[in-house]
Amino acid sequence: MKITIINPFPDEEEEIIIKCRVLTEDINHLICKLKNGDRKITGYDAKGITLLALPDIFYFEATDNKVFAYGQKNVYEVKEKLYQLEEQLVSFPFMRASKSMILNLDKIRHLSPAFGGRFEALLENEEKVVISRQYVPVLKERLGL
Amino acid sequence: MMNKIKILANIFSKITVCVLLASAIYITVMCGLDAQISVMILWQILLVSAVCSIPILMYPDEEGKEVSKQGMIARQIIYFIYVNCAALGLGRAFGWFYFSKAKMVVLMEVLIIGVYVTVNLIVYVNDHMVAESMNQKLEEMRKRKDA
Repeated sequence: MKITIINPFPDEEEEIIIKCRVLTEDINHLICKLKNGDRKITGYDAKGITLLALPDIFYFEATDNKVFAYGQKNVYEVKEKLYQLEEQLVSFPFMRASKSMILNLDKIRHLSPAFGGRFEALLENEEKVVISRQYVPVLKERLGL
Repeated sequence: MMNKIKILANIFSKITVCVLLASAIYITVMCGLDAQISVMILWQILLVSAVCSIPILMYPDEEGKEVSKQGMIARQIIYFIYVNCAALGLGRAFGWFYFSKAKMVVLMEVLIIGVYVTVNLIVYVNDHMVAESMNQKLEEMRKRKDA
């Protein structure tokens, strides 16, 4: 891939032009990252406030009217509602896995079938989460199947 | 609604094929290969399959509440008991067997369990294949990211 950096004219706006024959998923991700920057979510725990990088979040889960972000070992409460997160994270590798969970696809190590048409996802931190039957078609679509 | 109909039709077709096979085995064992049977039995098979398919609707859908693992196991057990009652009840009503004849009852029960296990196995194998194709895609995604 050829990368060319050109200095714009003084009165010219800074611009990024992407030349590609096909808009692949990788290019899409790059565009999202350029548009949204390194998005962070504010997390709250007993120690205080922490800025959470999206790649470090394994999943979001809603419990007792609160939403929590689960990291490798830590759990943080976030102020956003699940539906708000779903809208905000549409261009990131996150997807709705059940009525109460948004899962980071990049953190899935392995998928296996479970009871009742559901699927079980083994995450990088050895945790297992269930993907509801109604969200399996979404997962398949996100994986390009 | 359409999704429910799709799921129902899917499970109905699997159950019908298995019930047809089970009926062939039962009639062969009880009456021999030269048995003469009425067309009515085909409609009875379809009815039994339809009645046994209905409980699939008790599994959660988009609007329904999430069900825990224990809840799903309980639903499986309830489904199995329901299938037994439906198949034995309808089978008796249609005159497929008599409770006074132990051999008939035992064979019916074995075939009911066989159909139940086979249908679940078909669904599991299908899901397993879907899982494997998804795992392959995940692996490809990981390799692209590492590259």
